[in-house]
Order: sequence, then structure tokens, then C-alpha cells
Amino acid sequence: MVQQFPALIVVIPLMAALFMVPLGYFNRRLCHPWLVLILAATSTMAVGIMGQVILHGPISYRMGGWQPPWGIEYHIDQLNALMLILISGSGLLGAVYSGPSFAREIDGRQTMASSLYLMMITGLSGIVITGDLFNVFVFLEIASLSVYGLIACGGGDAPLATFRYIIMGTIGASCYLLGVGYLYISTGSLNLMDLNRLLPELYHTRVVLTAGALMLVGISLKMALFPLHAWLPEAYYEAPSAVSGVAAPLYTKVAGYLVIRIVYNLFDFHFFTRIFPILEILSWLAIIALLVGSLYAIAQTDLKKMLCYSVIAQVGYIVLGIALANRAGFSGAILTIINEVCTKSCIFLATGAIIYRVGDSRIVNLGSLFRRMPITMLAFTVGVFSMIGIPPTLGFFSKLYLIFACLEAGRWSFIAALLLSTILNVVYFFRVIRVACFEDPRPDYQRTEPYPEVAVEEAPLLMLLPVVAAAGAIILTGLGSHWIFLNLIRPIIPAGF
Amino acid sequence: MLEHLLLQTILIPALAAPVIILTRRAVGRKAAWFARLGLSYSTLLLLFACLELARTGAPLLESHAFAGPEITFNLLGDGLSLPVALIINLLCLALSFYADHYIDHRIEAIYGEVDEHTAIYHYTRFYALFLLFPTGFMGVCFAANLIGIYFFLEILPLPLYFIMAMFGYIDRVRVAMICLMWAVFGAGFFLVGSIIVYYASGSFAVAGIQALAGSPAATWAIAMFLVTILAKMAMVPFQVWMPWVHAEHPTCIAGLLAVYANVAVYVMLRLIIIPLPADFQIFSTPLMIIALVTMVYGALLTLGQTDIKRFAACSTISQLAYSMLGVCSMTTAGIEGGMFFFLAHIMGKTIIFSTAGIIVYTTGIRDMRQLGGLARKMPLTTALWIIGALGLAGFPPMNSFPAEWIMFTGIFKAGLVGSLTKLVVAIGGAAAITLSVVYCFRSVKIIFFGPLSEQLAADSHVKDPPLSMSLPLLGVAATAILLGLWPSFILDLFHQVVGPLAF
Amino acid sequence: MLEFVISKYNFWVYVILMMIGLYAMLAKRNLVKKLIGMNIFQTAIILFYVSIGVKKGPVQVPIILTEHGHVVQAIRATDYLNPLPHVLMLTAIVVSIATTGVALAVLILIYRRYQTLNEDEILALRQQRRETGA
Repeated sequence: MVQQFPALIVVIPLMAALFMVPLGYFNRRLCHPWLVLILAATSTMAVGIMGQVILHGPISYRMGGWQPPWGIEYHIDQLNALMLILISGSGLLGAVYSGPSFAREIDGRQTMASSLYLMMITGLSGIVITGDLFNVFVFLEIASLSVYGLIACGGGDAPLATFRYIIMGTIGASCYLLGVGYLYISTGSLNLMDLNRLLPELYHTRVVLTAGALMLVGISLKMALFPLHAWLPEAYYEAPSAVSGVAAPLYTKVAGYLVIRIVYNLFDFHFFTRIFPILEILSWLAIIALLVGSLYAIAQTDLKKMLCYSVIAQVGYIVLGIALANRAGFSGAILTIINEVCTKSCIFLATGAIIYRVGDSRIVNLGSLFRRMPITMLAFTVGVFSMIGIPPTLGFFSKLYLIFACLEAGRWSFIAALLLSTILNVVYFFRVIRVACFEDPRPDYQRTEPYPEVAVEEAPLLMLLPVVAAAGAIILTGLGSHWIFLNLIRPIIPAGF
Repeated sequence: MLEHLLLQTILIPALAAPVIILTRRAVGRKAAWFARLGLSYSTLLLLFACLELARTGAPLLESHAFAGPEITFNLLGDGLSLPVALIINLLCLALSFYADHYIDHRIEAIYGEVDEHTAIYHYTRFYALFLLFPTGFMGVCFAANLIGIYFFLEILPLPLYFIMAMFGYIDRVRVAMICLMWAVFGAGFFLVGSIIVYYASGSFAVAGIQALAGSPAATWAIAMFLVTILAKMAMVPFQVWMPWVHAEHPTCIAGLLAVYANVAVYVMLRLIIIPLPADFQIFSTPLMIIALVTMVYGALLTLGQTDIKRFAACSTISQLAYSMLGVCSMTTAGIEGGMFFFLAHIMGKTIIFSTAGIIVYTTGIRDMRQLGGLARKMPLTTALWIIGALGLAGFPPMNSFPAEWIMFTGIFKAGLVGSLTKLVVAIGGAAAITLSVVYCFRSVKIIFFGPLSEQLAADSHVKDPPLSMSLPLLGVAATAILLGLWPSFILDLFHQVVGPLAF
Repeated sequence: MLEFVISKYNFWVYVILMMIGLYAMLAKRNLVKKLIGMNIFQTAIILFYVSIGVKKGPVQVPIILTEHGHVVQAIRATDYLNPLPHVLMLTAIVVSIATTGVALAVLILIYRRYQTLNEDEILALRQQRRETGA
């Protein structure tokens, strides 16, 4: 049974998504328990796969028993297993959260939304587990289509945001597909490991150069790397809270995982540094993304929009780690991915809880929130500390590794940009904490009436648990960051650094 | 119980904070006693450790693995860190008693007439945040790992931000943000310096900084650390935040704010001067000049103040520079005197600030010109203020007297042996002391002597404060006098660490 | 030059189609036209893949004769077109259809809200609503 986990982890959510529709037709209240059950099963399988990979080394699973490169192979090493755990874990938190959240925001459409949710998890799991390039495209589109549907549920301006996302996302996926096509023409293979073997003699041909460029541009669109980020703020802002709480942490990071695979496993990174030196450009784009994302975030008046721009800034960190192409950068990029999934889950879900209680997420409406929703805000504060990079949260360690990477590469200006973005993070996050924590920021002599009485109105339990769990995960991964480095990152560091 | 002594001093305040929050419903205001008992216990532990150290001369070393071999949680309690930690802990303990009435007064002033439930909520929130201060300070004193020091230095602005924004004066929220931004700015440079040390020496351990000696990396690392230290100590040109913050923050943590700023001197000694004396020489004279400028600037600023809290705030700027001057002189006497002055300063500043808080609490007036003749109605307060003023001015029997004496011995020695600039700075420093004396005694005269205005005479609130506010200050004053009469207790401990360096 | 264009005429067709699609997606103001552009873009890529499988010379479509489960003769791969791109593109066509379906559903929702499908008008209306409503 355990041997079949790699296939099951993709198939079970898929089948369950289809089964959800008649189930929901029968009794709508069964959707949420079914969702949680399936995602708990998925998470267990992800943990099982991770255990196997740590104990026995990378797994190679052949779909249908067909030999690669003719059949589709799932090659699971520590990075895949890690991404699986992140996806299932985040999905589980979102699933638990979606009970009250969907009931409040998209009542009546829970069946379809939950079904699409499972399809989204299918798609994301498939992307990170497969070793076949075309399979990646298929799962990428499965995930994207489900998230298009989920975001459009948001009402208001969500359909417009979704349409823009559809157009841009499809351009991205199609560019990626075209790139894969070029690789197929020149080598005849679609299997990642096989191509790694076949491509080096073709590195100097124009076809392969174009393929590399197209694939990276396509994935960068999905990853919202500046300047291809325009779809992200609107789309994740208009989405329902449970959706943005899962999609925002996961999508861009899965796309980041794809970039890691393309740069390090498909092509050797020498290709991108010597023959086709775009890693240099990528690192500068990453720095610009860091700074511009943070600057945009400062200009926002709505908490959720601000967080979307923060996602754009964090994508810059990941790409910086990848583009610096050294040990510390690689480790820093992966640690940033882990940190981002945990932290953004925590913060986005907490924001959803705030929207649940307060009505919207504009910063001016967040007054005395620490008194009204103490536990939520405490978890939010832990998330903020992780974004800023205060030990012992994982945010500190990931930033430390990135700084080491810049030092190793001799880029002092990048270190200055990293520290500057940290300060900018402090500015916009502490602005929220200030409004939420302090009753009235006006000076004493301008207040004429006493402070109003405020009652504690915490979010419902099912929404509170995932937020707290995510905050706990931030601290646990921070304390265990060395374990993560030794067991999960060091075995997969590419040779030749 | 005596194992992991240093870890206990850090953890006990940290653990008492959530205990206070969790038990606030059950025990109400008495939850603050968790803080007081915890701090008493850790103070006793530290006193015991100091006495042990004085007897045996063996420093305390504790190792705790944390996140991998690079980032450990090693704690070092030697002759330098133990006395500093002891005095800081003593001040936290005193202020935890003093704050009792003061915070109630602030809660009433800011939040108006609230029901008991909300009042207890704010009260316990203050104490929980307050406990982060001793945690942070103990961590900074004892951590033997650069990332550890960075972590505790980053913790310290947080309770400062929250307490100031929740319980401070007029424009508190904005000023709290200013303070936080300066702290983050400084912390960034500290991190860069730590990373330079890591790359040059291969580890984050403080003991490994020596390995940098002689290389250009040492100069860069020192420069980075110095930016942090100067920003924290509000030296010219980074002094802009200090008067604002000191004016707006609640007086019950005033002493701790002085510690927060001054502990940077300890950090400088530990990270720069002890491991890398030769590389520091080049910075020594410029820093002494900066310290002198700050001294004079602060003193002149203080002379012009009429607000009682700003008075104390600007004198802090000036006095911070004293310990900097002493430590930068790079002589044994100067360093030990400078560190002892650090301790004397924080004690004297606590007394003065807290007494200023008492005056504002009872009379409701912050302008010194409107006060006068209070000696008749508030004798105890007068005594406390005079003791504090003597402490700031450097008069016997306060401990700042031997501190200044020893410090200037060292500074003059550096001036006579070293360059002419240093001699000029030394003379300038001695002259600046007279300014301190002037403003101290002038304040005493204005506030407490002279005619009493009718308004104050009629006000029934104007009397000596409750015992819970004055007793802790008397305790601190007594300790200061004791150390003034018997400075060798602490100076010998310092000498264990500084002496072998043979400047 | 002419030689170059004529011998690779299929690739030129696909590039031109792709650019038409891209142009439509970017420059057209009507949302439905953008959607059609997206469709053209995807179709161009699909055609590109399909054309990969073509070989010159006497090749057959890969339908293999069998008799009661046994293959009649040994297979020589050079006699048949490459079926893999066709198979891959079946999937891609399905993806394209699904995307078009979702996009059309979203367009219906947009129409319900704004009563127009012209992007400029929609943005102006949205700005108006934001200023007055929220």
C-alpha cells in the first residue's frame, strides 16, 4: 500500500472531488467533513512518503509499470516530499478553515467550491510529484483551472480579476508548453531525468536556448515575478478567504519549485550562468521585486491587498536564492519556500478570520482588534515576526541563509537591499499592529470621550485552529531549521557548486 | 537549583510573563506578584553568583545547543557580565514595585474611568510586557554567541514599543514607532557585523572574534557594530530619538530605558574592545571626541529644559557619553571606571526619573517653573531627588563619585600617554562635569526650595507618595550608597576580566 | 531567404497565428475578443506540436492491424507517424476547452455585474463604484 502512495496522493483527491458532487447534492453539510477527511488522508500519505524518502532515499514510481522514458515516472526526492507535505498540510488547514468561511462568504455553493478545492490540491500535488514535463503542464492547468473557478466565487469584482488571471495564466502555461515542445523536438524525450542526460550536448543550439527561455518566462508568469505580477494582487484579494488562505501561500511557491527543477535538475545551472547567462538578470529582477513589492505594500490601505503585495516581495527572495546559484542560496530559497507557506497561511487565514468578524480588512477598521480577537492577533503577530525575520521563527534562518548566499557571491548591494526590505516589512506590518493594538492613535489631548467598551469576539473554533496551527508550524520549523537543512536540503544540493 | 543559574535568570522572567496573562482572571492584580517574586529570586541568584565569583574567581559557563552547531545558546557569566546583570536585575525588581501605583494612574489618565475588569487587563498586560525587559537584558549580558545577542537585542525594543504606545504620554504611538525604527536600523547593522565575523572566523561565538585580529574584516565588523552601538546610545549624530522617547514614555520604565541605551557600552566592551583592542585603536580618538561633544551637547540641552521629564531625558544623553568616554580611552582604569559609571548612571537615573514620576503623579505638573518649595510637603521625595542629583553630579557618598574618579584617572592617563587630542578631550570631559553639577543642583533648588505656590499648598494630593513607590527607590539609593562606600566589590569583579588585558 | 520561408512554412503559420492570438489578448478591448485571442494562441501551439509528428516519405497513420489479439506483423517504427504528440495534444485540447469554458462562465458573471463587455467601460464603472460605494 505504501508503495502506491505516490499515485494515490494524486488519485484520491481527484476521485474524491468527483464524488463530492453527488454527495453534496444529497446533503450539503457532508461536504466539509468529506473535504477534511480526504485532506487528512492526503497529509498522512505525504508524511509517509517523506518518511520513506528520508529513510531509503529517493523513490522512483512508474505509472502503470511503464518504463521511463516512454512511461510517466514519478521521481520523489527530498524536495518533492517536502513540497508534498507543505501542500497537503496547507490544504488540510484550509479545509478545516473552509467550513465556517465558505458558509459565511459563498453560502449555497459549498459543494462546487469544495470539489474545486480538492481538484486544486490534486493539481498542486501532481505538479510537485511528477517527473515528466508534459505531466507538469497538465497538472499545472488542473490546478490553475480550479483556482480560477474558486477565485471567481468571490463575488463583487472577483470575476474581472479572474478573467485577467485566466488570460495571463494561460499565456504562461502555453509558453511553458511551447518550451517543452522545443525540448521534445530536439531530444525526443519528456522525462526530466532523461532530458538532464540528453541535453548537455545540445546546450549550444538555438532550440534549447529558446526552450529554456520560454519555460522560465512561462513559469515566472505563474510565479508572479516582477514585472509579470500584475494579476496577483487583484486575484488573491477578491478571492474568498479560505481560497486565498491556501492559494496565496502555495501557488507561487509551487511555481518556484518548478523554477528550481528547471534551473538545477533539467538543465545544469552552468547552462544558465555561462551559456545563457540569465541568472544574473533574474537576480536583479528578484531584488527589484523585493523592493517594489514592499513599497507597494506600504502604499496600501487594505490589509489583504497589502499581504498580496507582500507575496510578490517574497517571490523575490526565492528567486534571489535560486539565481545566486550557490549552496547557501539554494538552501535559502528552499527555506524561504517553507517559511512562506507556513507564514502566509497563518497571516492570510488570520486575515480571513478578521474579515469574518469585522466585515472587511481595511486597516482603519482594525482598531482594538487585539482585545477583540486576542488569539488570532497573537498568531498574526507570530506571522509578522517571521516575515520580519526575528529568531526563533523560520523567517530569520531563511534570511540568514540568503545573506550568506549574497556574501558568498560577493554581492554587497544585495545584502543592503535585503536589509532595506526587512525595514520596509517592519514599517508596513507594524502599522497594522499599531492600529490593531492601540485604542486610538490620536494624542491624549485630542480625545474627548473615554474609550469604548470592547467585548472579546474570537473567530469560530474551526477557523481559529488552522491559524494557530500555522503559527505553531512557523516556530517549530524555525527551531528545527537545522534538522530540515541536514535531512532535506543537504542531500539534494546539486553537485558542482 | 544552582545549576543552569544563568539560564534561570533568563527564563524565569520569560516564563512568568505568560503566567501573569493566564492567571489574570483568577487573581486580578496580585498576578503582578509573579513578576516581583520571579525577579527577587533571580536577583538573589545573581547576588550569590557574584559572591561566588568574588571568592573563587571562576567564571560560569553554560552550554545549550540550539539550532545546529553554528547557533548555540552558550551563556557566559564572568566578572564583567555578572555584576552588570545583578544591578540591572535589581533595578527591574525595584521598578516592578514602583510601577504598581504608577500604572494605575496611567491607566486612569489614558483610558478614563474603566471597569475593574479592563483595568486589570491593562495592568497585567503591562507587567507581562515589563518582564520581557529583564529577559532581554539578561540575555544580552550573558549570551556568548553573536546571534544570541542579536536575538535579545531585537527582543528589547518590543516591550518598549508596546509599553510606550499603551501607557505613555501625549504623542506616544508615533514616538514608539520612531523608537522601533531606530532599533531595527541598528539591529540590521549588528547582523551585518555578525555575518562578517562569521565569515572571517568561522563561527558566531563571541570568543571567536579574536581570530579576526589584524585583518581588514575586523575594521569592517567594528564599524558595523559601532553604528548599532552609537544609534542605541543616542550619541551625536544619532541622538534625535532620545529626547522624544524619554519625554513620552511612562516613568515606571524610565530607568529601564536608560539601561536599554547604556547596555550598548557593555556590548561594545564585550564584542570589540576585549577581543580586538589593536583594531579598535583607530576608532578610539574619534569616539572620544563624539562622546565629548555629546556630553557637552546633552548638558547644555538639559540646562535649558523646563519640563521635568525632558530634563531627565537630556541629562541621560549627556551621561551616556561619560561611560562611552571612559571605555573608549582604552586604559584599565578608564574601562573599569566607565563600566562602573554605567552602573552608577542607571541607578541614579532610575532614582531621578522615578522621583520625577512621583512628582508628576502627585502634583500633576510637569513644568519645573511652576513647582517650588515642595520640600515642606514632600520631605521623602526631596531626599530621594537630592540623592539622585548627587548621583548624577558625581558627589560622594554616591557610587558615581568613585566611578568618575577612576574613570578620569584612566582618561587622563590616556591623554598624557597618547595624543594631544586625547588630553584635550580629557580636560574637556572634566570641565563638562561642572555643567552636570550645575544643572543638578539648579533643579533641586527650583523644584524643592523657594516659596510654595498657593495652588500647591492647597492641593491635598501633594504629599509623599505611597510606600510601594518610595521604598524601592530607597532600596536602590541605599545600594548606590553602599557601592559608593565599597566600590571594590564590583571593581574587583571587573578587574578579573579587564585586568589581564593590560592596557 | 525564400527557400527558408517555404521549407519551414508550417512553423511560420504557427508563429503568425500565435502572434495574432497574442495581439488579440493584449490589444483588443472587448473581453470576448481577448478570449478568442487566447484560444487562437493555444491552437497555434497545438498545431505546432501536431506538426512535429509528421515525417516525410511513405509513412502510415499508426493504426496497427491485429487479429484476435495477436499482432499480424512486426512493427517497424519508421513506417509510422509519431503518435505521441497527437496524444499529448488531445490532452492540451481538453485543457484549452476547459479554460475557454471557465472563461466564458466568468464573462457571464462580469456581464451580469457591469452590463458591458468592453474593458475600458468596465474599468471606468469599477472606478466609479469604488469611489461612491465603498
